[in-house]
Amino acid sequence: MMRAERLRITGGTVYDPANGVASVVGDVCIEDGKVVTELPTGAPRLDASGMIVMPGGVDIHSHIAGSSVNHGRQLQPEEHAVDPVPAPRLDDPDGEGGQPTRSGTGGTIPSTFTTGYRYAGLGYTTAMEAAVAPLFARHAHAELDDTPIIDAGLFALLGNDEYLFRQIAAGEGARARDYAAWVLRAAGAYAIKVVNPGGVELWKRGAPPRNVTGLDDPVGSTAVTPRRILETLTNAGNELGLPHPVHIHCNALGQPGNAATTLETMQTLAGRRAHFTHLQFHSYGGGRDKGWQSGAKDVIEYVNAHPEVSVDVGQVMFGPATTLTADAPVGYLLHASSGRKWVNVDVELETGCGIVPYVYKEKAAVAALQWAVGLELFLLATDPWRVVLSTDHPNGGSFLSYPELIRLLMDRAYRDEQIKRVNAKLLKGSALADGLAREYTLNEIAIITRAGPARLLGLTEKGHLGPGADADVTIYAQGGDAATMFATPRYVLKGGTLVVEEGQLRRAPAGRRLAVRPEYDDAVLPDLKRYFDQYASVSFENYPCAGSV
Amino acid sequence: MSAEQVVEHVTCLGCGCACDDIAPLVRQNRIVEARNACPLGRAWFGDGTVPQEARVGAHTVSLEAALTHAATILTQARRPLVYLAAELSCETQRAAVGIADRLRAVLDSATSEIAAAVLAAQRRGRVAATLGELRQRADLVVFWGVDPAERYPRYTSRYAVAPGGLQAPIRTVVAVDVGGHRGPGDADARVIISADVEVDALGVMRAIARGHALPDVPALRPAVELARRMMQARYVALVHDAEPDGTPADPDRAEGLIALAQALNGPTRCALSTLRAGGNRSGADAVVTWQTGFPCAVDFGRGYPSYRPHDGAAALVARREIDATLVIGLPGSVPESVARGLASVATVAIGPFASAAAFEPAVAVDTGVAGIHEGGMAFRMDDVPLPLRPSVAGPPAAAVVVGELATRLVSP
Amino acid sequence: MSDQVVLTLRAPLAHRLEADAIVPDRFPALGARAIAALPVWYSGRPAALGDFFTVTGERSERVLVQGDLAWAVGLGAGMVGGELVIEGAAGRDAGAAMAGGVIEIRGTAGDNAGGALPGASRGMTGGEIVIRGTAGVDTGARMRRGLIAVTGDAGQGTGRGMIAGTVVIFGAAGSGTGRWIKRGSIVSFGALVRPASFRYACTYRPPHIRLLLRYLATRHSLPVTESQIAGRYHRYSGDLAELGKGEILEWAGA
Repeated sequence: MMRAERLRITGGTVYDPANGVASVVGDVCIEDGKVVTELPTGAPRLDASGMIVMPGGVDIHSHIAGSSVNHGRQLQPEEHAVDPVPAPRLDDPDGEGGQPTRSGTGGTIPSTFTTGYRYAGLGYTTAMEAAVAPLFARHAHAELDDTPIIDAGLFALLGNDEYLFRQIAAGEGARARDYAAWVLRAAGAYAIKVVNPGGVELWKRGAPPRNVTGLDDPVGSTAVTPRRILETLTNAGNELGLPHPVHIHCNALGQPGNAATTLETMQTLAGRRAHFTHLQFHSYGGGRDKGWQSGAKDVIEYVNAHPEVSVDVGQVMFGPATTLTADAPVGYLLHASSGRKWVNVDVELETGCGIVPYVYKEKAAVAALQWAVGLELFLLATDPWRVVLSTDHPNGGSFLSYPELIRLLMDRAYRDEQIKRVNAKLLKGSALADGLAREYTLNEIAIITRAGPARLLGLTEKGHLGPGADADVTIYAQGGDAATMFATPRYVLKGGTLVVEEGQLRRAPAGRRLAVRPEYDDAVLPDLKRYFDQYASVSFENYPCAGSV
Repeated sequence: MSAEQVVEHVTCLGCGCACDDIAPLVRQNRIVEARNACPLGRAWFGDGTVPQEARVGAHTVSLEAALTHAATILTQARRPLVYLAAELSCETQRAAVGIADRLRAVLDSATSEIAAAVLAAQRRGRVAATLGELRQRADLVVFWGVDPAERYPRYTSRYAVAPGGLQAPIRTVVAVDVGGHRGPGDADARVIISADVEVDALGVMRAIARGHALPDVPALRPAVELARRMMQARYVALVHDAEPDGTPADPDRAEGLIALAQALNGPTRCALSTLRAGGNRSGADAVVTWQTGFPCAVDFGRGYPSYRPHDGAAALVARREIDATLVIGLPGSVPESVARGLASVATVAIGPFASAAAFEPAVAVDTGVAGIHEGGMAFRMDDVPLPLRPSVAGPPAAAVVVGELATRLVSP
Repeated sequence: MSDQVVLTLRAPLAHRLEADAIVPDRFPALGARAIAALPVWYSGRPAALGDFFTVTGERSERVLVQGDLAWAVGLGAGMVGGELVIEGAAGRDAGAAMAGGVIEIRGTAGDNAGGALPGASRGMTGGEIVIRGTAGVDTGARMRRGLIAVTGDAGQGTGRGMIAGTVVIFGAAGSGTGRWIKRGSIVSFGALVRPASFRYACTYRPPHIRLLLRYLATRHSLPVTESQIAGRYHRYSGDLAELGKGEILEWAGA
């Protein structure tokens, strides 16, 4: 059975929350890569009796391809040397299933081919590369071309963009929107990303304060502040009707007391659709002189009460990680405090990049707090459709740790055991330490790992199993704990192709690229060309990726 | 088609500056003039004529026959080497790494020649900036033992020194002469450091950036003064050549530069600008890294990538461990340390001027030059990816020929 | 069980033999056949240890390797215990990133003995390496803990970037020895050119050196003299480009 033109998955227990199906035994019919309502009786069958059937996983925020990711890869031969990955043996390497497979290396930043195989092996069939400087978009696309199986899109960094700042300073909201649309097309991107608005620009300016401290700090001009940047880009995203609203990495990442900044940011954008990413890194109480504590409760209560807001958690998992961010001043602070190796790249007119390898240790007080804050966000959230599972791979941990995270959410006894192992110094008074009884159901897991992120991304053909959906399906065998179940799906279909069978990778077709093509008024172009001629080191004509504008 | 046309916004790979404002004037499929190009760029474009031949030994054969013979040589090899030479697009490099993976070959590039610097960056990381960012920010540009005028002619006029930037600072240029490696002649200030204390100087400068006091050493006074000057700048561009000519540098030099640039980010901001030659060498590092996890000197012998930076192509060829080599790219760009061993190995050369390779390959297939005859993507020295726009028609594209060869290789 | 396992090289090596399977702490559990079947890589291709060595003895954590092993890479790399004696030259990466146990090299040591693997923040984190001969470049680079003693000359960059631990060099030290150490001690009895970012601290008779040298004399039979044991040492602290908490101790005679 190769790429089945038709396939009936029979007898499985189906979780398809987008269509209100939870734990219902039934068939899923597939034809030409899509889910259909019915098939003729003679169609080939895949017996999923006793197994769990879900849509393929959708990762709303991950760092898997592009210039920053590749700097992080090149920086760490030591983690690749200890995680070699021979080329998977496919049953039909040269057949319809795709190209011959490739060897590679793993670690927190696997090689591209390995990234694709490992996502598929985990039952994930879609992933978003969450931070690409438009200047480097061409590179990110080339890496995605070498990342098989998964469908992928990329988010374009705009929160520290000089041309955007100029439009804000001039009060040119419409032109800012047109520019954002042009950049999305030029970069072949899927969504607008904001990282530490204004803060990265101040880091690059090379004089104190080297970061913003509040939403109203001036960034060059007093008319340009984090608040204005956030409002401008949030409005732009919503006015352009993008499938995914602006994707926000708030100011003050990783600093004690930053929950206040996060809440102020959310309040600023109240009533407007916005996605707040890796919320865990932005939900700390305390303060510079008061030390660290959890601020998760206040932040998630706001999220619970505001349906226009969505988040992903950015859970920290114990073990090796690579902090890899456009928030370059954070990279410097981590390097200075940890003494670990450090990459910084200042990217002209657009953004920055900071990379520091890191290890989260159970016995470290701050790491334990971060771990607890993430779990609190999950466990105190009331609407799973707006709270997505992520580790901000590889910042909080590898995507390979998702199954372990799912077990922590589903199994209170296991979770309580783990809590006993961690440094409790900063956990006093936290909701988690006080005991949270909640256990996620399988249906809720299906929401936070596929149905929810697909809906938040506006991917109407992903994350569900209704007619017309892409035939991205993951089938798990029951038995054992949740971590084991989710780590080793028995079958994975991608666009109707059986990529994993009996837990083994069998086929590795190329994935598709997800991108938006918003309309814009091309009156912006002459001014933009002048700006390029004056400041950019790349020709205006060479900036867009091929065929994108 | 008109007799004469100008191709606009062409990226030049004559050096790592990858200027993308070149406008070749083309007449009858010949480049008459590479407008905007520097002398190095004009030499790189030439008139666009390249040989177009496929050969087995001394005999001209069809492309088909050459590739079939090449496949036989490579699949029968016990210990093959795939060597990524210069003048390839990233697309060709990607296909070439795939061939090395299939053959369980050793894969290497000229980057191994500067393995000590690569390893230093893997120990320390690095602080960098795109060339356009230096232009926006730097108020102090320090050329450490390099005058870009020679090997990177438009570096100062396009990027680091001449053009105004956002913060339009008054730029000060300091030339540091390290032994025979001199900084620009027209710098605002000049610092002279003897080559034998270069690494010491870098260490002492870093100690100062970290606020540590040191005893006075007369030979190091200029370095100490320079360090203080750098700390007072707002944004320092520290420029060095990753591939300096002449005597091999102290292996600790690269680490000293990296660590100094990092330490200066305490008291001020600093970026290390690393000059590299052209032909998309930087692209090879990026591609090999994303496909294998390592930038060069990769051994696929175990069926997966192993990193062997201390035992790269030059060492393997010298001790005759390699029994067949596939050189992809311009043969003339293969470093002497590797090339001199190739004459005694069955070698397949695919790339521009392959048929003219000095090491007399067993099979040679001429292709076009990436950026002159072929499109695709290439990296500037600062890892900015740029599109390549062909100006003239040429031999079969390297990406196509390498792809064809790949289909003829059976997995071992 | 035998007193020791002896591995004798059958024929000279022409190519690189990746021999990081020779890790003595693993051998107590292995019979002679299992030892002979240990995986090695020769010229990039898989092979077995027994293809290259005759194996005498079994199930012992003392391993003696005989022959010119200049092409054998990674002997004892990552070992956590036991004793590995190499009668002959050793290739690069011997004892790299080891955590415990003892390696004795009775011959020339290749580069990076007790050092760090590419990109790794730490070299050896414990144990001892005694080199009765000349050591290569980067000996003990980035070591975190442990002891290395070299009876002959040591190569360029010995102890480079040490985090802690001790390197004793009886011969001449290569250029850049001690450069960029954070903590740790380099003890030198021969010529040594200090990096300029070290600062003279004092001249004294360090008690810890006395203990260290007596230990080397009794445990490893190194020819340490009384004038070395009781002698005066110039202490230079550094590297001030880093933390500055390390030291170079130069013997100043009795």
